[in-house]
Amino acid sequence: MNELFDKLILRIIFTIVVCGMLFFYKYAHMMIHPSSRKQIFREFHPTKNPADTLHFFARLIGIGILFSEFRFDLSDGFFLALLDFTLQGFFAAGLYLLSVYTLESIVLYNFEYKDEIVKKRNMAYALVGFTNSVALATMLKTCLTTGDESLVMLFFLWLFAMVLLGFAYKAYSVFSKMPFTRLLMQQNIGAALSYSGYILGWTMLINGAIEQSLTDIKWYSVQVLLRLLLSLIIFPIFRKGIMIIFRVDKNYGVDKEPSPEGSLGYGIYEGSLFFTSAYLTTVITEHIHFGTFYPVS
Amino acid sequence: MNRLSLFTLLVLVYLGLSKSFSPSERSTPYLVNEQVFSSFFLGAPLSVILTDRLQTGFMIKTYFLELRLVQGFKLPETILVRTSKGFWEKNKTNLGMSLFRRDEKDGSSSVVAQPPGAIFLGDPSYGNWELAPSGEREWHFYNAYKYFPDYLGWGDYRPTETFTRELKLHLTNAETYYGDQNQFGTTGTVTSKVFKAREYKMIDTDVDFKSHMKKFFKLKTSSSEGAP
Repeated sequence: MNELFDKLILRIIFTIVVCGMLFFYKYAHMMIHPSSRKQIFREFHPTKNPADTLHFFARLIGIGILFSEFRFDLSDGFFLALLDFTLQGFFAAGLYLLSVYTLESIVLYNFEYKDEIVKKRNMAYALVGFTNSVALATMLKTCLTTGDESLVMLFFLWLFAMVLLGFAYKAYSVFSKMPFTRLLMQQNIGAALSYSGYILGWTMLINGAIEQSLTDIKWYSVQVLLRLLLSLIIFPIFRKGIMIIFRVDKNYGVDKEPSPEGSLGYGIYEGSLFFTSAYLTTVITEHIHFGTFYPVS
Repeated sequence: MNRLSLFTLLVLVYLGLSKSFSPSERSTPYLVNEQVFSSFFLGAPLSVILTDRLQTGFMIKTYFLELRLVQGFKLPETILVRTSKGFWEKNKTNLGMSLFRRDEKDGSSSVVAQPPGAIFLGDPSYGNWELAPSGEREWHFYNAYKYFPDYLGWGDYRPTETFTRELKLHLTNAETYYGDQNQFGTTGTVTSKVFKAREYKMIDTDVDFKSHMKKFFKLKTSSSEGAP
């Protein structure tokens, strides 16, 4: 019974420690995003601005996803477990905020947080922010798993994954027919949904590529590169296949811009298509077990 | 068209990179046919015996030969080589046979499939003839080479003088010989016995469909998993 109580106390202490990390995150968030200083220290009213709520809580969901990867190993004692968690937690939270800042600077370079969220209450902008936060959190979580407690490896994996995600974003215009920036300005949710499907899908593919055992850096890099190349080959096949099988009219406004409803529909279609294609691509790139089919390897 | 070119380029890059870094490509040498054996296998006396042949792949097959290198003063070594379909097919009947041999006296080599150990038979440096109960004389290796029958895949069989004479004659005429009573080769009496348990199994032919389907109807209970 004593042991059970002791374990429960430890769990509660660790819960408080995680809350302490969230407290740190609040301040770190303010440092990286000075524009949201007021937002983060005032009392938050979710009912006032849904766009702001989505944007704000996306970061919280992100940090939650990220921290879910941490482990407390009490084999070497309580304080070392705490030290490990604190070190990793600080580093990962810092990298996460930096990732969010970097990606938003690239994707939303001609948008201002204050204009879009505070003044216009742009839900499309908030949805893009939400997607970025969740995608980056899952990506960093995978880096944490692959890095296996090494902060140096975590840093390089994060850098590598960020570059890949950057490339994926740049290729978005190749795959999508929707004028993303213009529609986002018009607060079109369709564009945000299309972007969300695409980025979440590619994050899944990047995660699948980097989630491999890292014993030799050279060999690991080759394996990641090969898996990404394979994803690049398989992804368009699924995308095209779905379009042909379900006979989808892929034209996005032949002569003129479609109505907002039309754009919303097309955005849902594109987002779903990207996400489904990426999901199915992981089956081919990660879930085929050749076993003894090729006995010589 | 541009997208198609890009896609083709991607496929080529992927294949190129995979080929460069594939472990099987790097660790398994490619020997197109018997003509390259002489430059690939060094040292004498040497007998290269075919111990297994397998093919892998779904539509594009890769052909492998498992070869055992029996040398006079070294432990035997087993290697796996990739080969051409033609050469693979050609050796369909040659399991357990020596595909290449080099004599240590004059350094001469031969690539005609023959029963294993032809270069050692009749050489007084390795063994001698002993009279068998059948009245025939059989070849026995000296004690120092007592493991050679196992290395060569002879099992309990000991070549007789008649066998050796015919073998040498076929060797001179560059003709394949499977033994006076068809002892060697894939269907040979000696080879079938010695190579009964082959390391590589032909996947397509070894599947038990009924037991494979059982997994879909399996119930997980504590009795099936053992005591909790």
